[in-house]
Amino acid sequence: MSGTPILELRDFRYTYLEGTPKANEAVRGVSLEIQPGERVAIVGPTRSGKSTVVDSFAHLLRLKPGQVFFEGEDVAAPGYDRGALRRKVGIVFQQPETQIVEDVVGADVAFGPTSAGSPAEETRGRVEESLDGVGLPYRDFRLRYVYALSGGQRRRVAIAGVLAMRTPVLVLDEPTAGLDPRGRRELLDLLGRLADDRKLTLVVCSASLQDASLLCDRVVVLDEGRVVMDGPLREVLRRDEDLVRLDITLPEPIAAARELRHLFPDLPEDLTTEDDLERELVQRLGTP
Amino acid sequence: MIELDGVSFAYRTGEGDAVPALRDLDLSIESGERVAIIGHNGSGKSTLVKLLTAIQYPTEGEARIDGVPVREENQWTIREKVAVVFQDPDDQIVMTRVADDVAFGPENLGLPRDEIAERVALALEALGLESISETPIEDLSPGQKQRVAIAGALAMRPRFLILDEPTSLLPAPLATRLIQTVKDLNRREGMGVLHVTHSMPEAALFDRVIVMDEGRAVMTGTPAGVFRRVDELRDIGLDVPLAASLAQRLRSRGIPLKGDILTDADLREALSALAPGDYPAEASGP
Amino acid sequence: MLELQRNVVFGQFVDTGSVVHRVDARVKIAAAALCIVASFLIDDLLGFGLALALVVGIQALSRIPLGFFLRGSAFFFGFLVFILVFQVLFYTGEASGYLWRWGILSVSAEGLYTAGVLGLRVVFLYYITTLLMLTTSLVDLTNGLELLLSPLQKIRVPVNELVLVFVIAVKFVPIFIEEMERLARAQTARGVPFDEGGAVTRARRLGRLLVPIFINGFARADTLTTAMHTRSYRGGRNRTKLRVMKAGPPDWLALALVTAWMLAAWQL
Repeated sequence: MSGTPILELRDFRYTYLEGTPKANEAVRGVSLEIQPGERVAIVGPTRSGKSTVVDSFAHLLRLKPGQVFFEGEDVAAPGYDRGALRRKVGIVFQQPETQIVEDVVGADVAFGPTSAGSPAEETRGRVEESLDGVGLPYRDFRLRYVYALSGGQRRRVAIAGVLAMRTPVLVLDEPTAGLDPRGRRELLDLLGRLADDRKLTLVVCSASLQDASLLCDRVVVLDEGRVVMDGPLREVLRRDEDLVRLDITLPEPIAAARELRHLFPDLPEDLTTEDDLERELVQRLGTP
Repeated sequence: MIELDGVSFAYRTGEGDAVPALRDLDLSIESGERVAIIGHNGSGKSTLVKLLTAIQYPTEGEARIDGVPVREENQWTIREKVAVVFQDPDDQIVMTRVADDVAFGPENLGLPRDEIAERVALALEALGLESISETPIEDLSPGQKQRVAIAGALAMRPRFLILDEPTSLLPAPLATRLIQTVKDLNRREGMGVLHVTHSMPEAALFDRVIVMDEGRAVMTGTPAGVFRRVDELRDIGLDVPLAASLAQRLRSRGIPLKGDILTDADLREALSALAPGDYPAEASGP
Repeated sequence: MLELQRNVVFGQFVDTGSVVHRVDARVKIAAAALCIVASFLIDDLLGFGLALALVVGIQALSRIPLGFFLRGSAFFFGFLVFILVFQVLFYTGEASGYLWRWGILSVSAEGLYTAGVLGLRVVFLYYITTLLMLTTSLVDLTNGLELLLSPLQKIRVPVNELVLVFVIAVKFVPIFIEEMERLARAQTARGVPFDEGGAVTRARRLGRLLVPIFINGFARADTLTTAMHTRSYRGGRNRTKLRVMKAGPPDWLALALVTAWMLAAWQL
């Protein structure tokens, strides 16, 4: 690792409703550096603190100084421009279709750029580019009513709304929750393509490694508000026993390989696709 | 048992158009049977749930539960026979403490207090909730809330328990454990279970799988039979469990895997049963 | 980010397991009602002081932290002071003399006194009800309310339904708060800064959230109604109850004590 990280947490701690009888300590000392262009998965079981970490990236909490840094600058320092931060860190929350603010597709996608003060002509261009980018052609969809769209389409509108802000960092919280298999596959393809084309820094937050393993090359595992693993995807996947103990869903091929290792103890631990697993099995079986 | 004879259903829109959600559906599900219903969003599976719980009524054809036609005048009889668990427990839980919510249904039936207490105790025990029976609902995790919702349905002692995508917002390991619990309940209580889901590995755990597409039941059969049709399922936007698809690939390469392969354990078993010589000797079973 | 629960204590239940929490809910509701009636009868400062002392004592017993209570009431007190200033300035009753006067605005000793007593009554009412909710779970509160109101059923008041409506309304409060905070976070992330600007600007931005919250609220209410029907809810008739409430001698003693104290405060 070299250069200034785009996002950095230094011994980040956070307690909700601090100082009340309902105080709830969500994050207990997380240190983390994310370099520009990295693709990082943040995984952990329910209440591991992963959503709080996501919220901290765009300063959506009551942060104390000295804990959260964007491009080397303390986002909680007095006078720091939070608006500028939020124009650089785009967050797609869990089930983002519920956070659409306008009735008409085009107006909703324009919402972010407009509130950031982008001129009308530029906004139009961004809306067109973002809608086309998520596979909802601008011409056909810009005047459609949001409520008349399917669930998967609404999620794309929400994602387009974030893309239109052209943030260099894109954070996704459980991007495929509640989608059917086809919707899930299409969305994952789309996100991978967008991250490639726009050279985004990508952060995917999930309780499952299934999606994250297809989008990210580095995995940070949180448990009870602390980092318990942080490393390249393949290395983290090798600790499958620990992941299972944390109730983290393994990618299907990894889970299958775990079972088949009873027969083939030398099966590698990092087979992330069905093709990988098939190849390894065929090698061991030989084709009769 | 549940019987559907030529059931059609259409949602009426503001303009007087009717959007068909179920088309001429014939279906029969035995008492005590465990059935998974799969289909992509908009395939009609949620509408089916609404008809079976007397939230909607067929526009054509007839649906019967234990011989009672699903019609408005029978709605309360139907609801005593069928209990349902929805996707989001927050939309289903009425009361604010665990035991009180589980008691809500039996209280509505006007049962004597002793019987309510007994049903609640058994339902809490079945879902492993005894130790948190007095906990406020808002302090529970999503998985625990879903267990409370199932306990509430169970306390109704229904003939059929319908699960309408209750696992889609839960992490997979939790979901699998929940489905295992429901299967145990089926064995103990003998009630039928209908599980509506997107998850193919979950569907593989049931006795029968019904595949819905465009308001019709396009496939029905054992999980093994259904998940053998990998390409047809992918065509309608569904998936198959990885073990099933991998087995098919290996077979097409001429590796003679025997038996039905749905789960990773099935695949392991089939591989270990291959005749010696089909794969290297150092890889013999555990 | 908003953490509304930090700033609004009204309506919250905080279980400290204290003696006050364990008192039978019906007794607590009755005692609270009694205190409220007393606050309207008492009209001298000594009486108020005495009555307030009892409630402060109960709060101490309940182990609800005073700091939490005060911070959570700041908004309410601010609003109250605002109202009371108007009360004083526009006092129209008889005044023996004015301390200050400008056009129709004036400050008089009588005006101050009237506003002071009104303020005390409102504070007292707020204090009692907040404390009742802080120390009584919703289930107990509604069961207690239902039992206390059950005689009204004889004159065909649908007590059961009314109480259930109350339960559901209160059940949705934390869900609404969560939803509102979630939307505020989402919109902030999209460029509406909820955490910047003055109080009025912030209030206006929050106002914008109300429409989606209400639409969402109606949808949820609809789903919940359906769920209740599938759980065989047909209104209050023929419903039975799992929980029975038992009030023991200590409960009655507590009620007697509160009654005696309030009578004393009134008669002194």
